[in-house]
Amino acid sequence: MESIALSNEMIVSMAVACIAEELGTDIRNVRVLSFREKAKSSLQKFISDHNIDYKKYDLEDEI
Amino acid sequence: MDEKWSNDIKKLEEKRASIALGGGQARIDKQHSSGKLTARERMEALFDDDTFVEIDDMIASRASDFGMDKKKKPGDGVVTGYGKVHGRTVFASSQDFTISGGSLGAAHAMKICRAMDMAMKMKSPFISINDSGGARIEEGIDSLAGYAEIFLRNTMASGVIPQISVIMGPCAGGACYSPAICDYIFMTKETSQMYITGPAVVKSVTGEEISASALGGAGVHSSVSGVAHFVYDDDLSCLNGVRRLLGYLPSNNMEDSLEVKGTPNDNCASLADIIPSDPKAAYDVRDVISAFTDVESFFEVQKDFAANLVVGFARIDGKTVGIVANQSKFIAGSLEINASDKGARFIRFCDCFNIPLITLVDVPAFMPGSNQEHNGIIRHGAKLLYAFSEASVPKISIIMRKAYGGAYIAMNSKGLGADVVYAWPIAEIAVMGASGAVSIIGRSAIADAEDKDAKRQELIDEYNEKFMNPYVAAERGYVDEVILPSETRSRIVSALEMLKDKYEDRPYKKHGNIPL
Repeated sequence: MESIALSNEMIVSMAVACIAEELGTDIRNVRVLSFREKAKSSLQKFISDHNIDYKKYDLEDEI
Repeated sequence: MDEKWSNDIKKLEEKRASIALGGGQARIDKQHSSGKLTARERMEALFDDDTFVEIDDMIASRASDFGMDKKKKPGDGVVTGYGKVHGRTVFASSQDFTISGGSLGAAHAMKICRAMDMAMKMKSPFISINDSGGARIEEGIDSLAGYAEIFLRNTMASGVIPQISVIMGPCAGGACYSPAICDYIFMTKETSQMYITGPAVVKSVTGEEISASALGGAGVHSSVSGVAHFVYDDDLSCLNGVRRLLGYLPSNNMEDSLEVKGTPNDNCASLADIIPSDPKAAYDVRDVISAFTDVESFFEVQKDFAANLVVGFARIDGKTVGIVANQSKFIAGSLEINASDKGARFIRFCDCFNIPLITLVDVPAFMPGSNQEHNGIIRHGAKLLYAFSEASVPKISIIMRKAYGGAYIAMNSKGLGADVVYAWPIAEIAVMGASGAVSIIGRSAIADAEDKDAKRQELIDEYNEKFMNPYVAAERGYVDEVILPSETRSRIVSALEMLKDKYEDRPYKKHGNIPL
C-alpha cells in the first residue's frame, strides 16, 4: 500500500473528526480554541538525544 | 484574570521551572555524562506514564552554619512523591545528586520520612532511589538523626509493605543501612557503590589500597557479599527491573499479589530427560522451574550469590509463587552459609507477603569443612530451618532426587510443616548416600571380609535397595505421594488451589528469635 505523507493540517482535521465522533457531535459544531504541542519530558529528550532503545516494562510484556 | 492573578501564576510557574532544574543545567549535564539520570527522570521511568505526583517540592534546609542559608535549594536534594506502578499506588523518594551531592540533612530526611509515613498509611510499597554523598556534614548530628528516623520507619514498615532500595550512585556510611533493612536492593553496574567506609578511610585505617568498585561495586555486592539482589546495566533497565519485581508482589501484607494472565505452561513430560538419574550428575534446576511455571515468568533473585540455591518468583496460572531450589550445578547443590542466609531471607519475605512457597529438593548435605564450621554453619543453617518452620503460607515440596540428612530436613520437609510433599520415583530420601553410610555401618563387616571390595559393594547394593528410594518415606508419611514427573504441574496446581485459604494459628509472641 502506498504511504501518504500527512500534512499538519490533515492530522489536526483527523483529530478534530475523532473528537467529534467520540462526543457524538456534528464536526461542524466543534470549535478548536487552541492547540498546544506537549513538550517532551526531560527523560524523553534524554532517550531520544542518546538514541536509547527503551520501552517501559509493563505486565502485558509477559503475555 | 486580573494582573495580580497573572503575576502570581507566572511567579509559581517560574518557581516550578527552577525547582525542576534541581542543581542547574550544568550539574544535570554532568549527571547525564556520567551515565546517570536525574532524580525526576528516574521517577518518570519508575512510574506508569503521567502518574507521578511530587510532594513537598519546596521544602528547604533551615540550616545556617557554614553558609548553608545561602546555598539552600528548594527540595533539599531529594524528590519525593507517589504515582502508579501497574495501576497500583506506590510511594518513592529519589535523591538528587545535583543538589549538594544528594547529601542528607534534616529537611531531606524529613521529606523521605513523610513519604514513608504516607506509604504506611496507604499500605503501599515504598521505593527509595539512592544517589547521595552521605550525611550533610554542615548540618551535624541533625543529619545523623535524620538517618535514624528513616531506619526506624524502615524497620516498622518491614513485613507490612514491600520496601525496595535502588542504588544508582554512591551510598556510603550510615546511608547503607536503610537499603540493608529494605526487602530488596537493586544496583546499577558501573555507577553505584555501597560501603560503610570508603576507599580513602580504608587506606588510612588499614593501609589497604582498593578502588571504590572493588570495595563496594555492584559486582562485589551481587556475587560476594550478597547485599544486592539485582544488578542492571543502567538506570533505565534497573528501574524496569523494579517495575518487574513489583508485578509479583502485593501492595501490603494484607493483600494477595496481582494476578497476571501470562501463558500457562506444562512441559513436565520433559523432566525425566532434564534430570539424570545418576545422583552425581548435574543439571540446571532452572530448566525444571521453567517446565511447570508460566512461560518466561521466573524472575530470579540474587542469581550470582550462593548459586547452589536458586530462589525467585514465578507464576502458575497467573498467580505468584516463590521458588526455592537446590542447584546441582554448583557444589552439587549442597547447603552452606550463604545459601542458608539467601534462602531464609527469601522464605521470610514470601511469608510476610502471602506468597506460597514451592521447594525443589535435590540436596546431598550441608557443606562439610572447617571453613563452614568456623564461620557458623550451625547458626546460619538454622535460619533456613527456622524460616521454613515459621512460614505459614502454603508450602509445597517436590523431592526430585537426593534428599539426605540434615539438609533434607532443612529443605521444607514434612516435619518442618510442609503442607504437601511429593517425590519423584528416582528420589532417594535417607540419612546419607550409600557409600558414606556403608563406610560407617559396614565398617567391621568390610574389615572382616576376605574380599573387602566385594563386601563393600554388596552392602552398598543392600543399602540402595532398602533405603535409596521414596517409598520408605511415603510408607511413614514423610512423603504424601510419589508422582510421575509428568504429573508435577497438575499436582502443584491442585495443591495450591486446595491451600489457597490456608490459615495457621501461631502462639502469641512479640516476635520469634531467629538465630541471626
